[in-house]
Formats: sequence, structure tokens, C-alpha cells
Amino acid sequence: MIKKVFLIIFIFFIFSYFSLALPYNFNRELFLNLRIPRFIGIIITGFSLSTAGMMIQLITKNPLADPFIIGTSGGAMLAIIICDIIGFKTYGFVYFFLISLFSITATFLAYRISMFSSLSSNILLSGIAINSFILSIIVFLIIFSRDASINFFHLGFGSFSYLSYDTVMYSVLIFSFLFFLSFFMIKYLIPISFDEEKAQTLGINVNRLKFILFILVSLITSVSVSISGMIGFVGLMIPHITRKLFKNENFKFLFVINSFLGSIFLLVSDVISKSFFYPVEIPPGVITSIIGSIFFLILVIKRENL
Amino acid sequence: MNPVIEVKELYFKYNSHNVINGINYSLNYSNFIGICGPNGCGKTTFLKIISGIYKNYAGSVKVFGKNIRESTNREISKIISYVPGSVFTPFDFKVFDIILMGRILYQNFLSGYSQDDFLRVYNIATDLRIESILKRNFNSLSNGEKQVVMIAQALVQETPIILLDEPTSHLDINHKIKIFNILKSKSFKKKIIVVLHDLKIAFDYCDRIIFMKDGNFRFEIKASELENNYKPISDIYSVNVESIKKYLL
Repeated sequence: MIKKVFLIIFIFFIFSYFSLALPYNFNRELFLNLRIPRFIGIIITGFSLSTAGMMIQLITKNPLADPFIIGTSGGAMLAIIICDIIGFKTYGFVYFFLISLFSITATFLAYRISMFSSLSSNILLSGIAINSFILSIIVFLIIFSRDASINFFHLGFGSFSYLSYDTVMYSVLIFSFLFFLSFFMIKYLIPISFDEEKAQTLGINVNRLKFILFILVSLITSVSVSISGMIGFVGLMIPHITRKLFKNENFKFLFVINSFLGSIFLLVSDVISKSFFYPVEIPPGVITSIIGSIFFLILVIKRENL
Repeated sequence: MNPVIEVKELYFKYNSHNVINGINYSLNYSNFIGICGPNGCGKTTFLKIISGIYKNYAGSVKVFGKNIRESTNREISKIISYVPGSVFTPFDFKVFDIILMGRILYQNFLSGYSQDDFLRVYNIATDLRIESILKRNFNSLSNGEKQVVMIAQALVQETPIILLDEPTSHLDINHKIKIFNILKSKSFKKKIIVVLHDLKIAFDYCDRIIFMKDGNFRFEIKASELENNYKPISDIYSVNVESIKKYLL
């Protein structure tokens, strides 16, 4: 296990280097003002998406759940587009609050609708419906606003460009706080992902807990969406890989390593997106979606013990 | 003194279908109680109502004088632990973590599990002879082992009452006997209420057996009173007396 951890740290550093150094035209100004915030943005996005994915899979007891699929990211994206249209662009707590409000609403709609039946896969079904509904609203809004369309093209598949220190530092601050909070939640997450009725008899107020956890997940997801747009499949894929790699480990450890793997995956896709088609930079969300959808298919076909 | 469990005029509807039809019951001194009855007679529902999972019932349920409907889950979990019939979990957990969950009611938001909690888990595990599987993953266990783990979890909860929902319904005879021996040995200090299908086991281990049909308690007998009760038992299951006799001998 220590070997694996070292390997992961090693890979993390290698790709950090590539992500910072590519493309090779070193310029101190450029490095400090563009690449460092971009790098921090990637790391935070990876951390938050994989953590949110892990949590939402545990809450819904569904190994195929993901904040991208159930509409949490979509809700946040809608808020960004609306902010863009009304001309509110300064990143800060108010902006973040607005974004998270939308993503919380979207998540709760999906959750609330799924409660009408007791199937655990139901949140996926209602989530997909909510998600496509939100996406169509976004497209609708974009048609009537040219400014927003640029932003949509920019954030629809994720992007780490144009990140400033301000934006990144806010998100680091917010995310650290949320990650800290979710760390305390782990001991409650295990029972409700084990069996909800059982959790109830263990003295947990399941409905209230789920309410809090859904808010937490939406907030964590909004952190990533607010800085880098919609990047799919990270939250779906990474927790599976973590669980596969570290089958016998403590849950808190899984939580940490999971977030690291998430940022590694984003660093890799960032390197690919910058270098493979240079000088054209393809959005990292495209890369994650390509890898992720193949992974998803393998998951569906194999469907072994998750 | 308050009766341990006092149920008055209990009604429960599930999808506008009456599952529990006016149960009146009070449990005082028996320690090992079996609830038997045909499928769908409301046994499991009854357990879930007492353990506080279903709170939208009509009537009153009091445990140690405490009204279940008005108690929080945490308050209930200090006096009642519930072992579900079977657990399916898509995610794998370590057996140790699962048993440790039974201690969560003694935690607050900020505290983690203490050394004392770990010690209690180890003690129970040694007691039930499952210390060798503590590090294994739950989904890699056999059904019998899973059930023992779930009982261990209920035991670390340290409640005076344990409810079990068909703990041995798909286990082999070896595990059946093992689990009921565990329960019997615990029943001197705790009240144990178990829903079960196997009448033979019920008459071997339980002090008293309640027979349910159509959402109501029909009658309650002591295990030693089997001889005189073949007729009512056969009525409960709508089979003839001879086949019940043959089965129970």
C-alpha cells in the first residue's frame, strides 16, 4: 500500500511538472500569472469533483452516480450563464453563493423526485431528466445572448484558462473548509451507504443527514464548476479506481487518496489537451469525457463487485 | 413499573393496505420471544415500527415507558437495536468498520471513535469468535458470517432490547444453531425479539412464541406448551394438524 501511495505521489509530481511546463516557452511573467493559478485551479477541481463523486455515490448507494450526471454541475452552470447575462462577474462569496444555490436546487429536485419510488437507481433517472432540462434552458438563454455564448463554449466542456489568483484563492479557501467538514461526515456516510433503515436504528436522523450531505456535495461541486465549468466523468470514474486500488483501506484514507487521484486525472487530461493538438487547446472536459465514457462502458459490461 | 414494550391499538397502512390491524400487547418478563406467522402477515413491519423505522403508525407504542413516535432516532437507538434480515451493500466495507458503526450513537459531530469503542468491538468479536474475519471485506463473507457480523453490530450498541428480522432464513443448519446459541446466551441479560419462520428453532430456543396472522397477534404460547397447541398453529398456517405435527417432531 505504501508503494502505491508513493507511486501516486510520484505520478502526481511528474504531471504537475508537465502541466506547469507545457508548452515550452518559459516566461517568468507568464508562469507566475497564468500557469500557477491554472495549476491550482486544476488541483482544486480534481479534488472537489472526485470528493463530490465519492460522496454522492455513497449517499445514493449507487455506484453510477456522479454530480455531472444528476444535474448538480448543470445547475451551477446555469447560474454562471445567468450571472454572465446580467453582467455579474466578480468572483467572490456572493457569486459562489448564487452558483451553489442553483446547484443545490437542481440536486434537491433530482433527489426529491427520486423519492417517489424506492429504487436506488431512481436518482439517476430523475437526475438525467433534470440535467437535460437545465442544459436546454442554458442553450435557450445562450441563443438570446451573444456574450454568454462565448462563456458557454468556454465552460461547457470545462476550461482552466483565464484563472486569476483571486478566483483560485477564493475557491481554495471555500474548498478547504468544505473538505474539512466532509471529513467529519465520513463516520455518518458509512452507515447510510450501508443500509438506510439500519442507519436509522443506529441513531442517525437519515433524512436530515441526507439533506446536509446533499448540500455539502452541491457546494463542493459548485467550487469546481465556478472555476472550471462542467467537467464530466471525474466524479464517476475516480472513486471506482480508488476503491479498486485500495480495497482494504480505511475510509478516511480512501477519501484523501481519492481526491489526489482526481487531481492527477485532471492533470493528465490537461497535459493531453495542451500538447496533443498543439497549438490548438482542446477543453479538458472533452478528454475526461472520452476516457470516462469508455470507462463507463467497461463498467457496465463487467459490472463486477464494485 | 412500566412494561418493557407496550403496544396499544396499533394500526399501520402501507400503500393504503392494512398491514397491522390493531395489535394490543405488552411484554413484561420473557426474555426470548419469537414471532411466527405466514408470509406477509406483518411480522417485519411490526419490528420496524417498534425499532422506530416506520413512525407513521396509528396507536401507541411505548418502550420502557418512552413513546416511540415522539422519540428521536438517537433516543430509540439507545434502547433498541435492530438486525435486518439481509443487507445488500454495493460498496464494500471492512467488517471491523461495520461493527464499529454500532457505536455511532455514542459519538457527537466532532468526536471520532475512541480506544474504548475499538476495545468493545474486539471484545464482542472475540465473544462471537469472529475476530479472524475483522479485517476482511463484508461482501466477501458468507451469508452466515454476515449475519453474525450484523448481530455483533447490534451487540456493541449495548441496548437492553435486540430485534432480529429472520436472522437465519437462508442459512445452513450449522449457522442457524450457531446464531441461535449466541442469541440464547445473550438473552439472559437482554430482551430478544426475533421474527422467524423455522418453528422447530422457535420451539427449541424461544421462551414464548407469538403467532401472527393478517396483521394481528392471534395467540401467544410458551415453548413448553406446544403439545396442546397443534390445532391453533395449523390454523395459522392453514395446513392440517398432521403435517404440522410431522414437521415439528
